[in-house]
Amino acid sequence: MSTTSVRPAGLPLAAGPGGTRLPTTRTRRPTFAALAVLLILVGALASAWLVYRSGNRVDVLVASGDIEAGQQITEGDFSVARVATDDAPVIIASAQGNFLGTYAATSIPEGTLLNRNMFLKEDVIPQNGVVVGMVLTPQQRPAKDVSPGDVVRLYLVPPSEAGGTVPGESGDTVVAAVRVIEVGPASSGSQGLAVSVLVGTGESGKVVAASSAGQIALARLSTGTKPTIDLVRE
Amino acid sequence: MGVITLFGAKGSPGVTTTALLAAALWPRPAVLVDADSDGGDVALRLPRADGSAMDRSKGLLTLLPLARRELAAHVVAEHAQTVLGGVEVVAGLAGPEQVNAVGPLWGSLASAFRSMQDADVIIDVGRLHSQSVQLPLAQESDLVLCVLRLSVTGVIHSRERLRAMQPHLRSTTGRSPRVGIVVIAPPGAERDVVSVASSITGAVPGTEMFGHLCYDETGGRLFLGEPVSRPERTLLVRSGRKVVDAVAGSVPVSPLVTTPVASPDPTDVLDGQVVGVQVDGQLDPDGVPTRRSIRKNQPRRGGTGRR
Repeated sequence: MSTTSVRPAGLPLAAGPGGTRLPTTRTRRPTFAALAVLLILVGALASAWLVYRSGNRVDVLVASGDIEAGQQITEGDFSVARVATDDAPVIIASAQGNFLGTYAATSIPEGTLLNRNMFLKEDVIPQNGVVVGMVLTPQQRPAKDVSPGDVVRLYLVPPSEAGGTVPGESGDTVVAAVRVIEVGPASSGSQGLAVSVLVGTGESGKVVAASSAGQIALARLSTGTKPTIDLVRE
Repeated sequence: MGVITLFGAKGSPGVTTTALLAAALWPRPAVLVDADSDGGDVALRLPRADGSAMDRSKGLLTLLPLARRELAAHVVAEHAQTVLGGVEVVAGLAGPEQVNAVGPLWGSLASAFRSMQDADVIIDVGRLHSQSVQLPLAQESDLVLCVLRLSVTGVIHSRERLRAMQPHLRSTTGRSPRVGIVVIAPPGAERDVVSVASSITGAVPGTEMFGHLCYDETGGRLFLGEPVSRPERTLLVRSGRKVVDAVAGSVPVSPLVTTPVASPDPTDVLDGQVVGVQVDGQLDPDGVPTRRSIRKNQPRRGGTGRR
């Protein structure tokens, strides 16, 4: 039989040893493969970035001890730690000199990372305030001495010895909350404590009268208390 | 060229999947004819190569009415559709009623398949028995392959079916097809497969064992139209290659195939002369000696034929 036949267009070509005509649907694969590669790249880049950031540490200033609000900063108040800064307003160690002699705006616990917003160049007595001084005997103050920056309450007490009396009931509050500016010994050898406080102009008269009569006693308030009048911290 | 018929004795051993696998891995051009006696499955399982659904109204339904007269081979190809992957499939009938209704036409269809020159024909008849209206398809085949599972019922029914069919397989022209079995079993069951094969080949003399196809669910899903990753690596396809090569090797290729194609294959040009391709170095009827194709890998690349 040597019939030749016209080969119709539809008939398949030979598969050959390596090829097959298996019904595969491969259209999904390239998308998944591309997505997988993309995820791998993103993950690798993210990890590399994290490692880079974690290694990028600088020396910054931390508080070596508790700092009171309003306290003037000295070199002993600073110590150094290594951190990754991430654009935070921390103070690098080399800038320490800029902050010596400034005043603390808030009370800073020991070990806090110092921020340039915590310090003020100067504090100034406000227009409506006066600094009034007094000398307190040991009975008129708490056992642990007050320090600059504390907020205290002044009470009227009876006179300890004969002398002019100031009008008012014993135990009255002279001023509710005032900021202590300076503290020092009254005179060498004596137990008196000289304290300067910032009071409003209106109340200064009462305070001066009571303090000069020795009828002022002082009680320290909790650190966060806001005094009626405060230093200008600009 | 060669015609093989696949059937299963009882149950659903996987004849359609085996037929699709064979057509996909066949080393030569082939057409799969879905002549399932219970109605065609392939058009329901797989989409066409372009992604659209197969046209179930085109295939045997349109081909069989033409078989009232003698069918030319190229007409068969016109009623085939290309499924996903590239296999040419002649879609099956809707159900057993139609299969029986066209009863006498199976014979002429079988003759048409025999005379097809440019492709092998793989016929999936689903179930077959000695009184089947589709028996002529098996009678005209070069090889009748029984697909069976490794189960007691599968083995015994296959054996009895082959034994009952054997005397009926002689066709009107006096030819008799070869008979073979393919066993589908889990991967580790080689010893059981060998014993089953020997029991069947012993009980039905002349039956040949063509191999063990691994039962593989993942691979099987491939022929249900579901997405399978790396199909050529599935157990089904890997075990299937050996079986299909054995089957294809047993099917004779016609000695003289001269296939005119639109453009001659340049590798077949020898000494400036375009020659035909053929096997075994025989002479074509014109008395002109022809030579094998240069490229060993392509056993059937035709140059311009000699009429």
